[in-house]
Amino acid sequence: MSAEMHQQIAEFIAQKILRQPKRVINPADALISSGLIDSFSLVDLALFVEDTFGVRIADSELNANAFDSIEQLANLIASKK
Amino acid sequence: MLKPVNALRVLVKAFVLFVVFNLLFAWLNPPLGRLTAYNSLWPGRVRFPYSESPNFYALDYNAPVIQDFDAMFGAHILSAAPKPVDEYRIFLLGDSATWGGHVSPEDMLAAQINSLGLTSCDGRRVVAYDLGYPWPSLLRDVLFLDYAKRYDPDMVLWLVTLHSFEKKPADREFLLPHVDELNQVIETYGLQLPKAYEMQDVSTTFWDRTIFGQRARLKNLLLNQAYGLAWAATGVDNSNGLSKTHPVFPQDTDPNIAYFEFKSEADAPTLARSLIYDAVRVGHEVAGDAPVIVVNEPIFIASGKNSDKRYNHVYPRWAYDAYRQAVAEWMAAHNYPFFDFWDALPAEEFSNDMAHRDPNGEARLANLLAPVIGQFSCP
Amino acid sequence: MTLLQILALAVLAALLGLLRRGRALALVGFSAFVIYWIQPVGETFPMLAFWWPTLTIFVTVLAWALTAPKEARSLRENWPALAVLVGVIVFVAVASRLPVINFPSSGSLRFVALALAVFVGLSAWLANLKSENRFLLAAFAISLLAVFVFLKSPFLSESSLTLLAQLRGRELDPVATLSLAWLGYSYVAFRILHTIRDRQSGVLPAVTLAEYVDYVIFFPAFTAGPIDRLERFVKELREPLPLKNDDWLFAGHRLALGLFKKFFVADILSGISANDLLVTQTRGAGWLWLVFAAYSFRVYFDFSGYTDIAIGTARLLGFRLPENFNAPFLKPNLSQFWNAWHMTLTQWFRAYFFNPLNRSLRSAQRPLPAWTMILLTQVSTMLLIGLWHGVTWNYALWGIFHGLGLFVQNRWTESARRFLPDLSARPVARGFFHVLGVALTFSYFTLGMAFFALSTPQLSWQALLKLFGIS
Repeated sequence: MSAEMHQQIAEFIAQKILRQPKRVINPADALISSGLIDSFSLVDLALFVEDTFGVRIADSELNANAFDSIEQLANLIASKK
Repeated sequence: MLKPVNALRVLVKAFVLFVVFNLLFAWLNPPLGRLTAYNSLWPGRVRFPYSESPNFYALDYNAPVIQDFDAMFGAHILSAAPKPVDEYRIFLLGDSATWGGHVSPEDMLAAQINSLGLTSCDGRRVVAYDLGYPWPSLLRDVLFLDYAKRYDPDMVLWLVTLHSFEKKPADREFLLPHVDELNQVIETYGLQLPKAYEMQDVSTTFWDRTIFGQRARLKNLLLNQAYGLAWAATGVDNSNGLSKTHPVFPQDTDPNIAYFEFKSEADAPTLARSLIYDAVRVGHEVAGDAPVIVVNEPIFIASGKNSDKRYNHVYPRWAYDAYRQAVAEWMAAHNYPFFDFWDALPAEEFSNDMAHRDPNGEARLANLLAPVIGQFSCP
Repeated sequence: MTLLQILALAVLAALLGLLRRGRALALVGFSAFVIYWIQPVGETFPMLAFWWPTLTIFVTVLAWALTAPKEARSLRENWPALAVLVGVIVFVAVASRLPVINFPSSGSLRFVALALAVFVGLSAWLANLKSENRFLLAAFAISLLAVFVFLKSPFLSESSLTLLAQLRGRELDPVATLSLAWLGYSYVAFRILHTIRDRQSGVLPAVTLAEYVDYVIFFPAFTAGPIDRLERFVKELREPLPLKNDDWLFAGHRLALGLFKKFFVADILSGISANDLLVTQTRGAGWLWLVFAAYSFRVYFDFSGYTDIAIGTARLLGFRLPENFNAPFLKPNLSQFWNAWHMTLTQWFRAYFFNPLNRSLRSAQRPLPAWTMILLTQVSTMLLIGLWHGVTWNYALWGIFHGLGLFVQNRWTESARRFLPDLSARPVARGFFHVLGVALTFSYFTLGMAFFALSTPQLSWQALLKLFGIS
């Protein structure tokens, strides 16, 4: 389940946000603090997560303190399920 | 394995280091004033850094470093390079009127003299340097000259007024940080220090010389360096000098004719006797071969109410007349050159003080001094 | 704040940090005292120096009564905190009459008593409301913002101050605006707004009055942040970190660093930093760039120095306040810069303005083109961040300048991705672009200071022309 979730999120980021489908994103890579995902695309990510996993990510959670990697995001999602 | 750092130990170490550094600093007394960014990073200043009070530092782009001659002269354009062979070097000593209390750098007396394009008898370019500093004090001027002689002056123009010759308790505060230099001058030249100035009780304690004890001085040293950026950027070094125009100085004065403890004309002889003539003698000796020309600087002469009693709000007529006569006689008796330009300027060429000149006044005085310079530059 | 005040507060924090029981309540009392102590006193209306802190306390308690869920509002649990606050107010009002204690005068004690009665009554009424009142909550938030605009708009605040002075027949002192310096309001208001918005969206944790007051007027961060989040703060309030060796080291390090930055570096730089006069007098583009760069550094050292002091002091109390700066001048582009500069404020605006706006634009039936949405959200967010510093044209222009900068950078990254080669395997080229980016980002920020540091758009325009050597 978790590996699958990692995979789904990584694919979304690579294809839709970065538009580099071949890019490999590891579960522990810094997403926000590294500047890989800008603040604008974070909302896209949130909308995707909400549609795909059926949990709500609050607007105040869209920052590096709440999650900065796919791993942490997956944990956040799991904690809300 | 790394040993965990103990906070208490760090604190003790920091404290010990602090104490050691302070003691070392006090013991070595490093001449920090000599570190200067002027004349390299920033252009040198054309007059000493001075500002009325900390409130004005950021308007004048100045922090005074009067406690530290190294820093004062280090900021001055005088320290930029060795004296060129074709330069005839004149130092202007004096108070705020010489410093240029109400003019910008391009209008001050030294700049006006330089703009005349004078040459000395032997064909060298005359270049005047402003070594004036606000507050009239002959003793301070002597100390400046003693330090400045390393810059090899060819002539000293010493602008004075009654105030400069007086014994004033306030001078003491200025001289305090330079007690060592003062004692040196007393020893070398036999300067007779008036009683009011005696400083037996003064000695800097070890504590005063630590970094902690000197923090105010150190801060001003740094500010002085930092303000070099603003000076370089603006060419402004005196917020009072920004306006070329000024209101006419008040013509009416007070009817009171007392001058400090001297009540009336009957005290004129006492006043004349109390002046610090010996500073002039020492000035001549310090200058060595360079001629020292004492100039009684122009004052504003009021024409309004009570102008029969006083020249202006500072000087009663009788006191100033007594001073002029006494100084002229003393100079003549010692065969020292002396020029009295006391009434040489029209009232409208004074700005915000009875001795501060406006740009026109500075130009007029420069023209009056030109023949004097010509005359005395000949061997 | 003076150096002495800061050191005294650090000692106070260390003592409070040793407390094992009754921490929340003790912190309420001390923070309340501190906000009276550090409030500057204006000459025209010295009494305001009593009333601003008092209003801060009133507003905070009312905000708690509005945001706390019914079950958390029980009087039995919360009366001690209320009593402490009322006690501090009464003490200050009375003590100001004694010659020995230098507290600002409160004016008539009868009026203080009346105000306290109204305040306690209002709090009790709100606390006893059956359910939460969505209308009151919204009205309270809007009032907070209205007061913010009033205080931060020089036009509104100065003209009303003049009017007040005329009515009372007083001379306005030259630093009259000091009278209107409601110390800490910008931060207090934005902390409270955060709790209101979270309450409205139902994610706010239930906290006691003492906890809420501690969060809003937490004395180390009272005047200039960081802006923490309630849920994070309260977690540490309830489970205090036992102060370890490392915490002492950390606190000492941050305090020493902060004092050095603020009272040494920033002080030295302040005289040569851009201001209306200096910029007008400066000759030549090169020097003007330096004068503005000095301003950039001064703001950084002053503000990050203050933050170091706040974070260090808070650690002595057992709190890990969030960081506000993360080496912003070493960031290679503007969006990373804004992730590293006054971070808690940008995060606030992201959480409560940018993200909601973005979300609604994205989820619209017929969404706008992507670039329009980016332009709209970036510029409006930065405009608001600009206005947060003061409601003036110059701060507005500064905000727009940064919003446009972020937009341009976003578009550039988007398109550069297509034609720029992948540099991940070429460290030299990458290093070169990194350094170039850092220099460009700093220059852009410094250029923006032409708006931030000066008082009118005309002066800013002239400065910009001069910076580019046009005039």
